Amino acid sequence: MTINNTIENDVCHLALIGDIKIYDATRNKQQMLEEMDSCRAMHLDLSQVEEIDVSGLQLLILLRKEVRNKGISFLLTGASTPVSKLLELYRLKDWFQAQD
Amino acid sequence: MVIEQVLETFLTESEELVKEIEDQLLKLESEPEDSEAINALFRAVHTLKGSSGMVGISNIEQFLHWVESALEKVRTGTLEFNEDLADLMLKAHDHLRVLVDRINQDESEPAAPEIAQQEELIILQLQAYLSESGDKNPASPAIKTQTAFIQEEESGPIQWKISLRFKENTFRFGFDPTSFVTHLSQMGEIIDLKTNVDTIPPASEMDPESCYLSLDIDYLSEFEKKDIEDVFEFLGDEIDLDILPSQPKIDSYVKNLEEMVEEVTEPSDSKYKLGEILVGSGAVTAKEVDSALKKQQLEVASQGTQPSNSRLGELLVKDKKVDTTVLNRALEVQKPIKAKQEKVSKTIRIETNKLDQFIDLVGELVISSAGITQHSEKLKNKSLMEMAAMNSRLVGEIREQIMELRMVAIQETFNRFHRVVREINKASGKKIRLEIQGGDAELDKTVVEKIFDPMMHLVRNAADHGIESPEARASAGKPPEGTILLKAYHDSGMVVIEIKDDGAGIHRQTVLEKARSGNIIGMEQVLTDKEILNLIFAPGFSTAKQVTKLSGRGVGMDVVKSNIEALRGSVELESIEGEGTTVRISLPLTMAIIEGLLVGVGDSRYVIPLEMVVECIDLPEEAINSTHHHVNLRGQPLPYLWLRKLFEETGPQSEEQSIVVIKLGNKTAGLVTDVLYGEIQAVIKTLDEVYKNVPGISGATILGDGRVSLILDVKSLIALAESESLKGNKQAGEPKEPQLATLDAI
Repeated sequence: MTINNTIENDVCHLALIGDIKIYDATRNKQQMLEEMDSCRAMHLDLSQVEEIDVSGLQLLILLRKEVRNKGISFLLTGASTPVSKLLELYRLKDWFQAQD
Repeated sequence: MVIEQVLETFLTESEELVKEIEDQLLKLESEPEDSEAINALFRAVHTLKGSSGMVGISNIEQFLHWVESALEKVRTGTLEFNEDLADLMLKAHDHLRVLVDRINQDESEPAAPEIAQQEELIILQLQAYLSESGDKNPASPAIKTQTAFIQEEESGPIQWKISLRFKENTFRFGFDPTSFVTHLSQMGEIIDLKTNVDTIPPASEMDPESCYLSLDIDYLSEFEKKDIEDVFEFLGDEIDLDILPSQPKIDSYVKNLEEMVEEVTEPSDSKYKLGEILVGSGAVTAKEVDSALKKQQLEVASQGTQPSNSRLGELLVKDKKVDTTVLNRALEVQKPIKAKQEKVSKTIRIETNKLDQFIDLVGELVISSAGITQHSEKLKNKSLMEMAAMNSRLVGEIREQIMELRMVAIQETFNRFHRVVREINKASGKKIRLEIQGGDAELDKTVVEKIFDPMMHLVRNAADHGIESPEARASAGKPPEGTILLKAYHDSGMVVIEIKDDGAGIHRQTVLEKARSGNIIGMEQVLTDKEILNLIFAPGFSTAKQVTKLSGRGVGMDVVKSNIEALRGSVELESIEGEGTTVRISLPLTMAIIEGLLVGVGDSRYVIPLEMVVECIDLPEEAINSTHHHVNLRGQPLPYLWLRKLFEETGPQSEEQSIVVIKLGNKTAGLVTDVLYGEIQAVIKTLDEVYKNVPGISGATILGDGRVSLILDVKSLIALAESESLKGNKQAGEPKEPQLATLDAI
């Protein structure tokens, strides 16, 4: 996958684009966590994610947890159908979007 | 080599599985709602797929993948098993048969292109079914399974608590958990699901290629624990699975256990073990028991404790595989189940040629033992005679039991005709129903195998020439659906197979014309009804007005007859025009060794099959020089034959001759003999071709003293006696009976 990160006043507008699957899992993890460093708040846009499998889901969960632990505020601004379906299947939508 | 053994096992297994597949398909066709059949079918396909994968026969494995997927949908109720699908499945079975046969024959040459094309066609059609049946529909009724023992009441879907822990190498093995979860959701309803996000470690430790997925699911489904477990089967050990039933389910397990004692019907020496009982009740799955047993073994090995039921039970409870109440009930039921089991017998598999070798040996033993008995009598040594008698008796028992081993019920052969009739219905547009009676009649294995071809011909004849089209039947006032009845029963030492149809019967006039035009009989010849019917068996005869694809040119009847006679059997026809035809095949029960009555005529010895001997009477005075050929036996006339005359014996005639009364079916006759020697066991040696058509002889045997004794053919002798006695009546001035045509004699 590729990542677009537009940073405005310490707010990261992070867009994940393409496939988040097992094949590039290691690289994806590295990329995603790197982007985290420069944020005070994160607006995550998943509307351009094409294919995603459970390894990808795990990375999203990881990202969400890390963001939470670091006290970075989080907003999910968009989710493509594959992402939506996956989050629904695993009943993670609420947890993912929860603000705390 | 190990691989060869594995392959051999696979070949044997696959034969059975392919057959099972066909059987269940046919069952399902007539009962599309039969949940046992669909599950049995699915299991067979699933097992065969797995086995072929294991031995590396990937073409079969891959083909079956599609079949299995389609069947999965049928199983879950998302796809209807209609006629078209049944057709497709049977085609798939046939293709599977081709694939398996190629393996059996070790075909290394590439398959003909038609085979590959056929496969592609079938797969495409299967795929069409798979995509069209769409997504899950929780409202559609899932088909319930039934445990082997128990009939479950119609209860609603049950709640389960399922916990799934996919292990870390899940992705590495190529699995995506989502497909399993989706599958689960199609088999019932996921009421609630919780993904345990805490199982994913912090970033520094998290391995992106490892799987940490852990789910807790509240699930509603009518399926059994085993079915739910099966969803995750392919994961093998890569998942930790807990399936916990809700209370109503627990109650039903306890009830199952209580009923199990009554339901013990299957032979097995292990079903009283605790694990088996629990699996039988549905409370735990085989997999769970296996893994608990493994744990127990480890404990035993490391701690030196004794394996015990209670420990096994504890492990299962500890791992939350079973509820305590269920376990306790299972322990209580164990003893009565074990007691019942011990009554039921075990089975074992043997190769038929080993059995054949055994039978040959027993045959030799019979002869040799007869020799001992004879010599001991000559020596007049009392204790030796006693021993010889005991020996004879024991050998006789061995013989009997061995013959039983080769006996096989004819049901399976009869069952093959379901398919045949089905094809005929399709091809001809007629409506024909197959009925089977007496399938548990038993025959020697070889006979069962060899009788199929003649039967096939006869059934096809019945369908093609016998049963009329639905329109013709309707205008004849018959129900549009014709019936072909296959019936088997035992009668005085023979097995009788009847093929009976309610069709048009045999039209005598047509038969006569055909026989005349074929020069089988003369134009002026007058025949009895029986003789006319027998013309059908004459070589070169055919009444087919139309050559049809099904029964060919009808030239087969003489071949059918000779095939049956090669099995030492006989065939006869009965028919009523407009009502139907019955073909009756009689076959001897035993092939190789028979019990016989040894008689002496002149200098020779003859053996009469004991099963067909009714009694022996003294030859009455007046019969000795009479020309009548029957005596009065308790008010009934008994036709008889002078074996002396028949076989042209010249040796000394006894002062006190006897008549041995023989019987076949409802006909009896008498045979005049000089001496009655008694019962012997005769190993049948077949006679050469030269002697095959001699009337009255069906084989030979070697007596204990080395003499050859001919075995008499009861059927032809009875016919001969009848005809002689009619002739005799004629000579005495009684009303003229027509000459029996020579066709009938043999």
